[in-house]
Amino acid sequence: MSKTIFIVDDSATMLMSVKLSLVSANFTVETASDGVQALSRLKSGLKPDLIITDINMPHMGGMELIKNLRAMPSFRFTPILTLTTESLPEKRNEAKKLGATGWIVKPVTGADLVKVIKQLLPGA
Amino acid sequence: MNPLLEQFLSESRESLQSIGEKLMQLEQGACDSGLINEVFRLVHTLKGNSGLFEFPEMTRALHAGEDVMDAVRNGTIPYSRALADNLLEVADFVGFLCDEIESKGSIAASHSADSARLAAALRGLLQSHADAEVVCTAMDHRPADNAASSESAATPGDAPATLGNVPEVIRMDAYRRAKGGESLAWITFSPQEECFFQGDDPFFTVRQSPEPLWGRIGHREPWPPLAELNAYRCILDFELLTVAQPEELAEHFRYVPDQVTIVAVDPLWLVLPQGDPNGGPVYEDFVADALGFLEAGDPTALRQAAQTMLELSNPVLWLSSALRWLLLLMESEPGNRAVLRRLIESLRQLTPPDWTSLEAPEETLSAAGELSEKGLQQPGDTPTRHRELSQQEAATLAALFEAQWEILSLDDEPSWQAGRLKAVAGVLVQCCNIDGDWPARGAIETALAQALSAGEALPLLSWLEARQSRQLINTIARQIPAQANATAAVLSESKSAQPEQPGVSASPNGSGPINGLSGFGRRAEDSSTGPIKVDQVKIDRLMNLIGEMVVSKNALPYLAQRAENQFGVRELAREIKAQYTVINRIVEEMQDAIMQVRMRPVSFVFQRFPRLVRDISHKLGKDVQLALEGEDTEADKNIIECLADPLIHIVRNSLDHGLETPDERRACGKAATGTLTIRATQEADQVLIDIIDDGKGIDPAIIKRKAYEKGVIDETTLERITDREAINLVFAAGFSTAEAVSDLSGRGVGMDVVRAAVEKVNGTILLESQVGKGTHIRIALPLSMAVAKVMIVESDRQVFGVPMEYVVETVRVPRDAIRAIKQNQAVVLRGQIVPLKALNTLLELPAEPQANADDELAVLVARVGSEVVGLVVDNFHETVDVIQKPLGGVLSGLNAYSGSALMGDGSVLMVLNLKEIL
Repeated sequence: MSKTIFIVDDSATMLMSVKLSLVSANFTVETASDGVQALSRLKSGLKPDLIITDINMPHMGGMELIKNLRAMPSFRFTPILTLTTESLPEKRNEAKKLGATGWIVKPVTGADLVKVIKQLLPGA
Repeated sequence: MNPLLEQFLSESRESLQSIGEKLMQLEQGACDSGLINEVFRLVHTLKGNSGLFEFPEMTRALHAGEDVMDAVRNGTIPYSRALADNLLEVADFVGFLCDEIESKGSIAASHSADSARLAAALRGLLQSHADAEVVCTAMDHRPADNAASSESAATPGDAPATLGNVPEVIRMDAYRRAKGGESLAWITFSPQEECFFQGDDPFFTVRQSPEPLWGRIGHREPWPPLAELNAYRCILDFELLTVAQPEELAEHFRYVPDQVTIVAVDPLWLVLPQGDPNGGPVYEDFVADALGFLEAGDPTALRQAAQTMLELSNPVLWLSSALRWLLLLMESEPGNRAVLRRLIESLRQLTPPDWTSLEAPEETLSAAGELSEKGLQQPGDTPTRHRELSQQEAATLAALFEAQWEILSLDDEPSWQAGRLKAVAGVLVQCCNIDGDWPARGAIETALAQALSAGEALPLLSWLEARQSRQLINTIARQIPAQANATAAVLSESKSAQPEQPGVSASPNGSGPINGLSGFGRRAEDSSTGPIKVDQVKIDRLMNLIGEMVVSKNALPYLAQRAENQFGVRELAREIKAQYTVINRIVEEMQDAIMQVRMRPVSFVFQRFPRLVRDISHKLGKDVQLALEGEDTEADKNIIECLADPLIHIVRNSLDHGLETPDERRACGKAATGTLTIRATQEADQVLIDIIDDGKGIDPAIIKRKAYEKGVIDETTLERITDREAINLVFAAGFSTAEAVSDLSGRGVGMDVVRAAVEKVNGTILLESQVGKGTHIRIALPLSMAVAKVMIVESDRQVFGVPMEYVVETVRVPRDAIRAIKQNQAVVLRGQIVPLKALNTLLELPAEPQANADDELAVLVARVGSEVVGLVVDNFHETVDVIQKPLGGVLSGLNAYSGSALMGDGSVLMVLNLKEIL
């Protein structure tokens, strides 16, 4: 069964780009456009195998989303990747501390992204 | 084009638009870190997206923009007008690149110079912002960490009053740890009411806070009755005593710095005796003795006196509490005589000692060594009622309260009631004492007095109820330092032990109600009922289909007529008619609904004006204030879009020719700032757009002269023409009054093009102007142009359609009421002269107008522009909804008709173009 990946990004272009590369690698892709929407989707039963989130978003940013997700028992261990243009080490550490699994700097090619995901999701 | 690129372009345009708007808002003084952040985010996202494609020119300029906005939001450089100019220029540049990408699929290399220039200009601001004209500074934005840590670093001022809530045992422990070199902090945390909806879990935040000693959950306002309780509103307050480092705390609460106060705790603040005053201070002897021992430097005697006194006293008394503190202080600060003296003196009044004006520590007591040695022996032996109750004791206590509740709830005979109430009150006081809740005694006694006088148990019951909810919250709070799972267990236990808890559903248990929110509608609606984007083509198709439907349903009445007249089945005709009314109603509703989908607010067009007006007025050195009104007025999308270009042209004209420079305005005695108002209103089935300026107006004399010079009018017209007509000559083709063609208006597009654009969507344009006062242009547009209402008139045995927007009224005029004025005919209608024209003459039909039996002529009064004309026809028919199609092929040369429409019976109706034929 194909793995489900949940992408959170406020830019529809970015969502589309990531989605295209992941769908062609046989993943099921779900999307949300900010942290609040993402949380509500996740709370209403969406159970992705991996979450990819942007950091800078309206309403609720990626950091807060990660913090919230790690506080929820059902998402304590779901891998969360951040996909962002930020490359500051402080930010990276902050995300790590909050529980992010990995940090990818935009823009990323589809092949690289799929490679990282396959490492995180064995058998995908 | 590849769909990803298409998506990128459409999103980029939206973002650029939004950036422009936000910058305008900032410029208008809305200095707001939220706006600045928003602009940053938009630029940031744009940059990130542009990196997906190979558009280095775009990325470079945006990257510079992002850096500048980042500096602004961090407060490193101020937001300035120069900065806004540069950013707007970048936005324009990016918009231009988007257009080029859309049309050519790539960006010409020649733009890289522009991109470099723009980026350099922006980066220049990062260095030399000092000379920029400061509009506003984003100082109210401060990184969360700073805010929190600066508060925690503040020098200790007054002790928070709420420290008294901490049980004495905990305070004593905290005191010892503070004396052992640990830093104490007192945290109060008031989460936002709406925090649950932002996915916050305040309880979790507090529970996870580093190294807590004690915590408490309170409520900001009284709990409403259970039925009215809104469990989604957070009205909780948290208090927390911890030994964590201030930096750690600041880090932990960095997302909610505005909701948290962190105060470094002076250990002395914890020395706060509490207890039952037992009728008041009567310890004068002891105080005198103790002070004597203290002055004499005899700590052993002092401690013995204190211990003896403590053993003699009831441990729940205020006195006992103070004595316990005294013993503790003697252990840890044997030399601080001032502190000890204060504490002893406080026994006189039974008020907490005042530590604020404490002098420096005095000399060490002579026997300090011996004292601390002995004093440390068995601190645990000190009797204290503040110890935590064991679980069993707590359960017993809860059962006792429960029993009192049941007793009070019994129906009672009056003769026994007083005694029973007193007994219950007695038990309650004892229970509270065991629990360490001395102040409760007073409240219980008041409740008892009320109960006795009222002869019912209610006051005591309500006291009990209030206590139970307090109790529950304390139970939760006590578990804060414990493990999450343990808390959940205890909570569910306390729930079952105390079934009637008003506060229970609001308690933000991390694993319970908050996550449970997902089950309720509030969340679900976020994901399901947002707007959806639909392709314009699909809506147009719907629109066309409903148009066809409107016409084909019109065939039913004809069918009914035929059934009756031709086939003689009247019954069937009636049924068809009945069915027709049903279909008619549904179709009309459907048409309305589809029309609604296409409606857009005029703000869609208006939103670009603030920028336009700003740029142009800057360039011209004019001071103009733009007022937009009625932006939420709606009209059909196509019409709104057709409106954009004419409006821009009119606004340009007003700014360029109409409004004067500040100096000119002052010379005329007007305010230096000109006003340009653009207002949209809906009137019946029309949208009216008014563009009003208070500039110099249009001088009819100049217009007449120019028009004559350009050959727009001949000499005779020049003499006859009224001022009003003269002004409207600006709409004539090839007319431009500007002495020199300026950079702005006069780009070869005159007002004639504006008029043509408006008339293309069946709108009308009117111009009024007063020299020195200003100009008022009114554009009237139909709400929708898909389905037109036309009135059918008959002339010389043919039918024609007249668009309803021209029709003022239909009248029957007696032939003898018609007057001849020179060669023309006219009729006086309600005191107004209405010139008459026969449709037959206009269409060059040979027949004469036919009158009815009473020798009255049918006159359709129509308004064309600002003129009213009576059209003489043979007969009036009904009005119908038709879809007007422009004439095609060779017929398109027929100016007399604006189009044709298909009628329900299959015949073709020609719709007259009154503007042309009159």
